[in-house]
Amino acid sequence: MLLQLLILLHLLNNFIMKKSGLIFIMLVGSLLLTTNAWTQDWTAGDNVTLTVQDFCLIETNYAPVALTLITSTAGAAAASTSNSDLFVKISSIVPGGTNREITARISSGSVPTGTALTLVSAPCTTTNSGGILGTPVATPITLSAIDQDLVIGIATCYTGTGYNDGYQMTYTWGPDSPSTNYGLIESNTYNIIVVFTITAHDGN
Amino acid sequence: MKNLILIIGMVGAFSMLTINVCAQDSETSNHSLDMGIPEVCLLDTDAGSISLELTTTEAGAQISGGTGTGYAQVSSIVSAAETRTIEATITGVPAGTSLEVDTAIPSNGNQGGILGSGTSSVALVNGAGAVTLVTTIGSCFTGTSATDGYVLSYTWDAGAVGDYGSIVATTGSTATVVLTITNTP
Repeated sequence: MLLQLLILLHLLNNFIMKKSGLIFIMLVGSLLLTTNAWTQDWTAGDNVTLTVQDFCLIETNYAPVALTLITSTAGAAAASTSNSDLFVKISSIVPGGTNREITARISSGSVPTGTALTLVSAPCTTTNSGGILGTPVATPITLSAIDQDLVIGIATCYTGTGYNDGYQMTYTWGPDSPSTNYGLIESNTYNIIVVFTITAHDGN
Repeated sequence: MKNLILIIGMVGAFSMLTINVCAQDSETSNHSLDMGIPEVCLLDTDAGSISLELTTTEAGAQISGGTGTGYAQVSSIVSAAETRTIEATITGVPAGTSLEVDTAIPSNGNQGGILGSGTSSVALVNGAGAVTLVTTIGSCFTGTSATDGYVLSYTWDAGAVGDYGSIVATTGSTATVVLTITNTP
């Protein structure tokens, strides 16, 4: 429509420049006549525009996650420890044929030296969810400052809003290659912040 | 007229920009993790008793030859700039004899971390102050099976020549070594 308008204006410009106003008026008149000839039915209506914005929202259940490395057996290395209290909830609408991913990275603090922190997502809970919820990446990611995929292939979906709705995340923390790196471990309390991101759909 | 076209073109461009702003791009959510590593300091032995015997088969020679091996298993997590030491005290060494110990760092593959430095030929004397067997231990583990850990090689012999006369035959005399792991500082 815009294109047509621009062409018409361009023509109008040319006609005025060439001072061929009469020809132009005739042309417009003929167009009006033609239009009238086509308007033969008597129904009336209105254009109803329905818009579905693509959007995405992400939130966690803010479960406190505390992990402790400890052993109670002399001679044993500190055992790995896990926590699965965290759920990630999303709402997503995407254009047809496009997908989003949930990624995670560390934004503040760092994993204590000599240890590794991994994260893996379970499939979305089914109780209150619907749509195309994607597929968790099966291999746990070792968290770092760089975003890595946790769930891929997310399209239009919702996970539910309850405390235990969404993608259940499992953190696992333990010594990293203890035979070589165990000496790097130092007792202390560490706080790190993990950022979950739902990406723009891949049609962007 | 060209200005009008330009204005319409700009309006079109603004409309497209507005659409892009409305479409949400990506979203993030932060989550905080508390991760604690408390200090760990555990010491254990394989708990088997070590049998030593002093004897000789050659007339004219002094008795000798009592050797045996024990293992000390450790789990340690230290704070920054902290090290640990294993010390030993003893009671029950028979009169006229001397007991020495060599301490080797675990090396059988079940260990990891900063295991410190061992010592050799450290004399264990009844009632004497604690002697140091291993120094500068950091965060480490030694393994948990019976032959994992620091290797304590005991050597028992007749003591000073002047004390030889105080040796008496005995069976079942028990000496007890107490191992202690301590923080430095």
